[in-house]
Amino acid sequence: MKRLLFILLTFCVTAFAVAQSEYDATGWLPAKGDHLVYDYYGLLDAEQTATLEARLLAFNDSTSNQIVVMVTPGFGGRDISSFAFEVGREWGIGQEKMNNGVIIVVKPKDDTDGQVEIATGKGLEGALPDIFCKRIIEDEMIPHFRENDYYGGIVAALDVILPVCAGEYSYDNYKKDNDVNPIAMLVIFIVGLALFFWFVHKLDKLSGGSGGGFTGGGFSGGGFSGGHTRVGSWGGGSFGGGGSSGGFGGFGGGSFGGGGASGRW
Amino acid sequence: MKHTSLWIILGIIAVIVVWAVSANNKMITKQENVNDKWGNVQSDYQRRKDLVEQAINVVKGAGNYEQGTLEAVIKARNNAPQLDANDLSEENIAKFQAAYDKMAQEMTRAINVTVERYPELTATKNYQEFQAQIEGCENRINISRKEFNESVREYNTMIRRFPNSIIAGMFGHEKKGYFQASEGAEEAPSTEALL
Repeated sequence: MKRLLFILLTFCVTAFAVAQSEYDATGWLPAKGDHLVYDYYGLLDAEQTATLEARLLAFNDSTSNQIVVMVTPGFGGRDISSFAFEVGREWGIGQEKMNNGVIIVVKPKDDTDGQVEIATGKGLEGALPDIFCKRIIEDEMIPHFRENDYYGGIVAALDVILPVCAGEYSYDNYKKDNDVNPIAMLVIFIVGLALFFWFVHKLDKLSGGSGGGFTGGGFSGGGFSGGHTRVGSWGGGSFGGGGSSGGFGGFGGGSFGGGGASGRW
Repeated sequence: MKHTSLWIILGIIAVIVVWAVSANNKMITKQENVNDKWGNVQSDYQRRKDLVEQAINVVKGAGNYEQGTLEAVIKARNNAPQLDANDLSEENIAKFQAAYDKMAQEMTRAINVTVERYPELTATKNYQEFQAQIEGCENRINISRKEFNESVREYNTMIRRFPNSIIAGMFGHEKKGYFQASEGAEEAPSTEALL
């Protein structure tokens, strides 16, 4: 009976929380997406969204920097900065080794104050210091936002941010960081192959000889299949993960350390 | 026959030793991770300490400032300790945190008192930069504290579970403390509060 009451109560509380506002419910975090512009508020029109998306996608493809723009009515019960960092970290915005992601969160002014945050990934804290982000917010974004020109404010900020990020991480040093030396790969492959054949050869000899059931049975069977699968998966892993072109290839696993700035109007 | 049982016993001992060594190594890896994360926490708190200089500059920029408020900040800063990664007990961490929170409070108070008297200060470059920096500083502290807590949770879970706990006891791996959310520290001390 008590249990039933508890379940009923939990259900009611959850239902209430959802009804109140999905975006303000404690712990709300948008599910990881597969593109770069998110408008949970319905602020931007289709053309503006498409233009932004195309620009950020081209920037991602040419420089490997991942910049996400998100318009949201609420932050899941957090302050705007915590929200931005949590999205950035959970989604893994930016490339894994370089942490070159940026997330721009905008909450338009309605009954409550407008808020904006530029959160920078760890690798971009040097190119976009906190004070610089603060300047962008105060000088480029908020003047537009005050006149209800949200799209203009976002574009003005991107006009400043994009060239700076491109200077820090270009596609060239992304390639350099991620490309495995082909000669090294070849050497590893040959050594692996040689070891594999040597092993197979050895086993053949062992089981062919007068060795008892012990070596011939359990040991050779286990060893052989183990070696075999290892070689198989190694080949697939290293050659399969080729370059991504065309659509957005997904977030790279970048991390955020707390850099950035926020503003209010 | 006697030899067989001897070999079996030796075999069992060997397996136990190998397991103990590998368990110990895993704990050491986790412990190093905790130390690493603690290093980040330290440097982020150090950043907060360095901000005191800037706060002092902002206050002094006001001209006829109140000497008492400045002295309180400087005193709080001088009391903020360093804490070695080997002493990360619950109690030590709480002390460490309290000292730094006090420093931040004094710093915010000094700024607020000054701004109340000289509202035109908010328009100065010094003040605006200070504000952006303290915000970034608090955000970094929040994240590094969270990461530290996560690493401690992993480590503590590992050393307290049976049978790892036996190894932990043998090699002297002790439970480490967490950062607790201190009152008022959840919200970054805001210099906007009084405006």
